[in-house]
Amino acid sequence: MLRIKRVPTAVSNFQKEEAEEGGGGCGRNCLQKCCIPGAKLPLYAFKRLNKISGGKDLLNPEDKEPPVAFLDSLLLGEWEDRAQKGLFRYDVTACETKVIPGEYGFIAQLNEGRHLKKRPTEFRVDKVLQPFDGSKFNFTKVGQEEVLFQFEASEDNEIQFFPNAPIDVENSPSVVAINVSPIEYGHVLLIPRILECLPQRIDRDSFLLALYMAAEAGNPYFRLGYNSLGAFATINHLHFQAYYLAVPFPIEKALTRKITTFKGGVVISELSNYPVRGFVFEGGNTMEDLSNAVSDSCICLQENNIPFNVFISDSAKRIFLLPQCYAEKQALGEVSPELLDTQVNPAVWEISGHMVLKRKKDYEEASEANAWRLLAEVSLSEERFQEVKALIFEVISCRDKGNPSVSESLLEEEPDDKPQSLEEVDALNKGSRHPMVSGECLVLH
Amino acid sequence: MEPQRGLLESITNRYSVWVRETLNELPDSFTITDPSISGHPIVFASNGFLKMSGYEMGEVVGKNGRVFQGPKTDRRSVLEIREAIRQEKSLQVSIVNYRRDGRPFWMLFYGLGFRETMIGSCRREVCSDSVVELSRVLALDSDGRELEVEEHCEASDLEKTKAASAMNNILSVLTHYSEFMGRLVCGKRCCLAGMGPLGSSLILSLGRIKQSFVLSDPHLLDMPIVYASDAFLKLTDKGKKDKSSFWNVLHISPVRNASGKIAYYVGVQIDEGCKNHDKNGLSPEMRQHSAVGAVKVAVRSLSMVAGTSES
Repeated sequence: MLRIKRVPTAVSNFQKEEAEEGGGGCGRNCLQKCCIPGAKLPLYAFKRLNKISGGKDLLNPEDKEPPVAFLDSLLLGEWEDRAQKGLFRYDVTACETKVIPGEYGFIAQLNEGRHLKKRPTEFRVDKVLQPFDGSKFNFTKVGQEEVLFQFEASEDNEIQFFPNAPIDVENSPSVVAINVSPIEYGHVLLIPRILECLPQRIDRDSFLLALYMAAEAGNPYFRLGYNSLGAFATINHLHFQAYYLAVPFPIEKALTRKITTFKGGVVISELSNYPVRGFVFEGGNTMEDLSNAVSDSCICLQENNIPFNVFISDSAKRIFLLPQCYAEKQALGEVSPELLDTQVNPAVWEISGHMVLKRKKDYEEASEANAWRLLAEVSLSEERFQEVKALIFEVISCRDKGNPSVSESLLEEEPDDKPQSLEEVDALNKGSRHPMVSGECLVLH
Repeated sequence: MEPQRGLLESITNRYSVWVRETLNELPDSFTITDPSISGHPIVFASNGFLKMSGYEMGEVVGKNGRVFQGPKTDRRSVLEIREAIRQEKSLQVSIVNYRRDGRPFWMLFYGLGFRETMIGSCRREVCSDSVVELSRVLALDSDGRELEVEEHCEASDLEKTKAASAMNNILSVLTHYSEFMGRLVCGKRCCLAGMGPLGSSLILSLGRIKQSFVLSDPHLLDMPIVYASDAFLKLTDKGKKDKSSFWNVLHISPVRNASGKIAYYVGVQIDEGCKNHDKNGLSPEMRQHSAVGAVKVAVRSLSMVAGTSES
């Protein structure tokens, strides 16, 4: 059994050390049976989209103006309200931050307060799927004041907002709650069907819900992320994270190399010239097509016990999937002490290029080379990555029976894709876009 | 000599008794005139201006700006100034003026008209169109260049920028004090864009925030307002029936830059009138919070790139 010791970050004010957790009455207005009757929360009901639109501005002109702007009014308003009420452990806007000079623009933040007052805890890192354990901290134990609103699909296909909606236990609401240790402004958690107590494990519906949230925010600077167990998730209760940071992330600027077009028009590429190897999913005739391609890949990874992170970017139009092995290396003693000393946990945000540093020294010395070195440790080796790629494609092409072109293109590509890919990278580096790529873009958008 | 009492009150009545002191602390050389009074007299002259012109306060207040003109003053420039005042336009022009002792000098005249709107009164009232005249002496040697008044002298871009930022400071002071008095000076935003301490990309980002808010800069004297949103200008322009209901919903919060230091204070107002027809939306308080959040994200993100972050 592989374990690592790390200082967990408190995402809720009710997340106490296991030992402190007493039994007895609740009395803290949580989301469990004791407190939920009569509780009310704002409810935002989104409209299911049939097509991926290029953004809010391309929505049907007949659409009514939404009653509440999801990100700009609701999420930011509720979040700032909790900040005024002092629910956060620190003011994240008082944490120094900068874009590190260089080609990629890695982002560094000095956050000395995030990990204070916590003991290092052991985490099992060799099992991506673990059963839900109600005795450990989970989001039904957070205080209702930490929950911002309920988020669900609208029943009459119009965006709706109810400032004071009862929590319908039967209906299994999904909620958005604050992370009391934010790494940027607006840092929240999306907890799908919170009362069902799902373990940290991707399923099609929950993943689609996350994409809807990104699309609803409609702002490329509001991204969602997911960490599997073994890839620095600390709470085994299904959740996505999200925050608002108005600068591009390095991973969004990385070059990509197209691998194939998948069922429903979803284009799958791989990152090139980025320290972490990973897949990029984009396009698709519907948001559901795109969502299913990614969630099926995630399901494949978790069933094969491969830890991974997901970064939902560009209002759910581009999704990055990054299998990783850092925790495993750490447990096996294969990570250099120098890197371990920085105590940076390479979860989804770090992998995407936002480095949260705990020591002033590391912040002051932060450079593109340092960030690159850390992230290179996170990545699978080229050999392992190709194995994982084959594994994913085997699974998703099985589920993709109706489309023979996928297996064909795989056959063409798989045996020897090196020379071709290098050529493509060269073409991209020179700034001349590959004709195939631009052709695809025209068709897809 | 004591200036005429009535004229001095023209400005203190409108802005509070403290405004003169604050204006006097500004290092710039400027006068403020009041076109609502017959003869369009000067109602305030800064220490910098008095020093430059050699006049005393009592000799200047109550006089029209033409007392500084003389034989070498270009008539066309004078007409331009007069026309700009009439049309409430801003104007920068170089013009020859005369000191008290008769010595001529070139100065950069920067006039900016602004409209005042009463808030807290029962009707929308435009009580006056004041004109700020700002003069800055060009960087002349004390004697030498003064003889060259025959040649036209164009102010350098640097001088123009300095004049513009000085004007911004004056407007900020007036805005600040007029708020205390329940009134607001709305400097025309187009005249101010780009010359304040805010960068253009920040102004662009702030421009996308729909709510009514102002930013003030605590690092400048008297925390002047350095940005007012379009919604704020509209809200304050509409006229308020009840002053207290307006101020009840003012919310002020510090805004930090990427260094984690306080860069501004944001003040967010909610128009009470909006409250009723928005039953199914967010509460006014929540909308105030969301404006604070949006401003915080804009200021923090835009100061993150190396070199632009203030320390």
